[in-house]
Amino acid sequence: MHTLAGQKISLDEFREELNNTSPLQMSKKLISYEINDQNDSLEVLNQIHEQLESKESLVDSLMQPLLLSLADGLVKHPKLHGGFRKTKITPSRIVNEVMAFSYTESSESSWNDDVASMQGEKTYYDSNGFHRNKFYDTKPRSNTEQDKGIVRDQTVTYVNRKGKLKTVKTTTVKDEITGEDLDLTRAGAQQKGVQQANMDHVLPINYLRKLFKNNPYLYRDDIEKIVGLPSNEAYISSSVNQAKLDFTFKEAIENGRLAHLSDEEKRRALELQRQAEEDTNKEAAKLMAKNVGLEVLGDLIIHSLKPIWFEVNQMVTKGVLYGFEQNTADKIEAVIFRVRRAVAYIKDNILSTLKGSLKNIFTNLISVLISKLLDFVKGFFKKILSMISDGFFAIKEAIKILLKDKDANGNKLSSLQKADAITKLIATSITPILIFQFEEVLSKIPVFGEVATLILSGIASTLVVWILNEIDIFSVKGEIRAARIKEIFQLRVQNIKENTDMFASESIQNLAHQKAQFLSVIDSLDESVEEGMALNEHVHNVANFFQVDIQIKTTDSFLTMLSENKTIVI
Amino acid sequence: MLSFAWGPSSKISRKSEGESDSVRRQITNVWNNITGKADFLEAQERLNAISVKYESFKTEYESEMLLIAEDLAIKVESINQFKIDIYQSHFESFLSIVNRVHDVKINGVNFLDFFDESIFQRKKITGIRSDSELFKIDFNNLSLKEYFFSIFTWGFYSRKKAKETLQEVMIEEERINCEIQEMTTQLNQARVAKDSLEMIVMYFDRLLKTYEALLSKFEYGVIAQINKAHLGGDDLVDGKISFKRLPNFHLENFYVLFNLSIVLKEMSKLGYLTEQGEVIHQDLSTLEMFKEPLKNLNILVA
Repeated sequence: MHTLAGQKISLDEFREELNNTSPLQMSKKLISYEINDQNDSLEVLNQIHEQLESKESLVDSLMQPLLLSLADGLVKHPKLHGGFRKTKITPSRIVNEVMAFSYTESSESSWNDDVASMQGEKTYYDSNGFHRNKFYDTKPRSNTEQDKGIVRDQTVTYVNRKGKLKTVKTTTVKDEITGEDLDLTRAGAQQKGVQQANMDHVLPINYLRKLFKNNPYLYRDDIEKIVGLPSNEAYISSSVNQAKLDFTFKEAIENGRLAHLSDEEKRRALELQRQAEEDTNKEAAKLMAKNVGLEVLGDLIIHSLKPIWFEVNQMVTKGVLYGFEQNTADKIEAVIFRVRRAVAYIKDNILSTLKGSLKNIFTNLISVLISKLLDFVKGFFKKILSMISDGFFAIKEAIKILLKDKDANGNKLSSLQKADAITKLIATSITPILIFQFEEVLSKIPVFGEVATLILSGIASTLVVWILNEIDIFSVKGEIRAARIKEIFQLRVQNIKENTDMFASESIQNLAHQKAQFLSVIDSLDESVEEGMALNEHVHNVANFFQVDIQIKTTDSFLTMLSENKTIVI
Repeated sequence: MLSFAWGPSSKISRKSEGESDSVRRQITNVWNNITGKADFLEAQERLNAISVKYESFKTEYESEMLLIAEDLAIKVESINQFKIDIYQSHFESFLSIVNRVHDVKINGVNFLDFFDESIFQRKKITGIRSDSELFKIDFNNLSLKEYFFSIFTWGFYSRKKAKETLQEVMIEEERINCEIQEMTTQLNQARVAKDSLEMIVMYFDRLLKTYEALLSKFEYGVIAQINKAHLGGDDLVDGKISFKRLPNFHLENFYVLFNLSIVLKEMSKLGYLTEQGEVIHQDLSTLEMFKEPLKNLNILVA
């Protein structure tokens, strides 16, 4: 754009150029000097048109942002949120994968390639502080008591360290290893003369964390659930708990930390551990199955979105008929071809890999989605006019947003922001008109239906924006184009004018300077000739002025040359 | 005043005529706004205005350009004449005098400039484009299709086309302003060219005057020495008098004429209108051209 407006010549550079030009080269230099580029104004106009044509397509610049907001909507969808967060599928990764898709190139998903990086959150752990309390040991003790049917039905009064009288609710619980009575509170235990009860994680938190650290299908909040399994919680005396530390009972017995327990007590401890291990394994398997399912679901959604978006994107950016010119000249037919191509791809590549109930659900979803998409596209072209009148307000607002550079607070609007605003606007005004007919059908399928609605709204918004851009009902494109061309030409005129002024004044100044120089040199030569005075210095000045190199610098060397050469050639 | 003579009835009819006129005008205005004809009319007006501006500037530009071109042609002609004179007259005179002292040759030929006005018109000036290129719709000449489209779309079609026409004309305005600026630039450059060629003419003129003055002094000195030799009965080798017999002052004349000849020869070899080869390259080759003959001569003598 800037080159079309022309370049400004630097005064210093021009001055230096002239200073380095010999007086004999000056006229040539000035005559052939390019004050502005060689393009004539019609060429410039055509070039601006070309540039604008390639740049101005609002749709081109909106396609990616629209897809991104669609992907964002998917990932942050309340019902999918947790699932997608765990599967490492981010909006930008969806956009990259979907945009890179083509039918010919293999488009294997790379979601699961590096699960290790997903496991990072399980790596960091401090056993007494932040991580333990915040992420793992989150189950309130009151819940544990409830699970075990413990009711605090006694009140103990005691004097605290500051000498104040306090009361606390407590009760007596049985030690799950020794069977002796324990009290839940320190004060109660003191008054009763028994040991205080500690709630012990049979399989210690850190042990579980290490156990599942490298399991890609278990996430940190899954471990949190396993930690809180009822069978992993046991009341034992504080003395045993302090001896056990972060070991399992088996480890603690083996390394002699629980040597004071009787064999029977040891057996009971190991039994607690066995039960906890059994439940942990069951729960872990359940959680893993769920997580694998989520990943597959995410992959399926992305995989299906790829060919669909490919078709939408190609229709919008390259034209509906692109690639189908030989098959048909009818746009609606071309759309049907496109949908069929997408469906065939989804069937061959996605549905064939599924098994069981998932396959049934997904097959249903896809067929509903595709048939509705077909209806939608056909209706879309037919209903354009009624859409425009129904959605008139929304369209006007959308165009306003497109034209706006700044929001109400004066912040610059990015194309993403614009796309977002338009998507929301259209989603709330036009899209409902279009998709309400099959929203009913889709809503019967939980989660999937919502995802499908979301995808369809995104695609519908894109098509609406595309159509708006195509028909350009308010000549908005022309207006923007005219404004830009005007701007470029004005800048160009200004540049040429400044260059011309600079060129003229500098040249005239330089010529005047050379004239004065020449006159002083030639006048003194003439004067010396007239007066019969020494001439050598003056003729050298003349030659120097014209930047002509004189080989023979002195009369003496001239005489030497004469005596050495019978003939001299000039 | 005059209406009185027509009586009251005509007064009424005039009044109602005036009203219906204004009503018609208002309807026309509304209609023009709906169909977009208002935009079209503005486009026509703007196009007329820029056409007038362009044509009047172009006339000015062409007449000044013509004057400058004539002037430049004369200057180029005189430069060419100087170059011819240098070889045919000045160098001839110099050689005829100097060869009575020493064998001197001048190699090379002069270069004559060719002046063509088009050297300033590197850029095409296209002028205003035709109506058919600018007008997306012509209300004075609506086709049946355009007419029905306009009605059918409640004026949407014609309004859009008229707006596009107006925009196209506004773009044309800017483009023509740009062409006017480009013509201004060409004029400026031509003026500067005139000044710079004037300098070249001055260089030739002054240098040749000096050369002529020196030549006559030198001629006088040489003839005086020859006469002196004849009078003294000295033999002249090949009819030449040894440069060693010349007094210092005339030897210096010889040296200065030798150097000025080099300068003049350089000046005759150059073109002053168009860049030919690199400046530096030319200066270097000039140097080489001097070195070569000198070297050869040294070898010959040795």
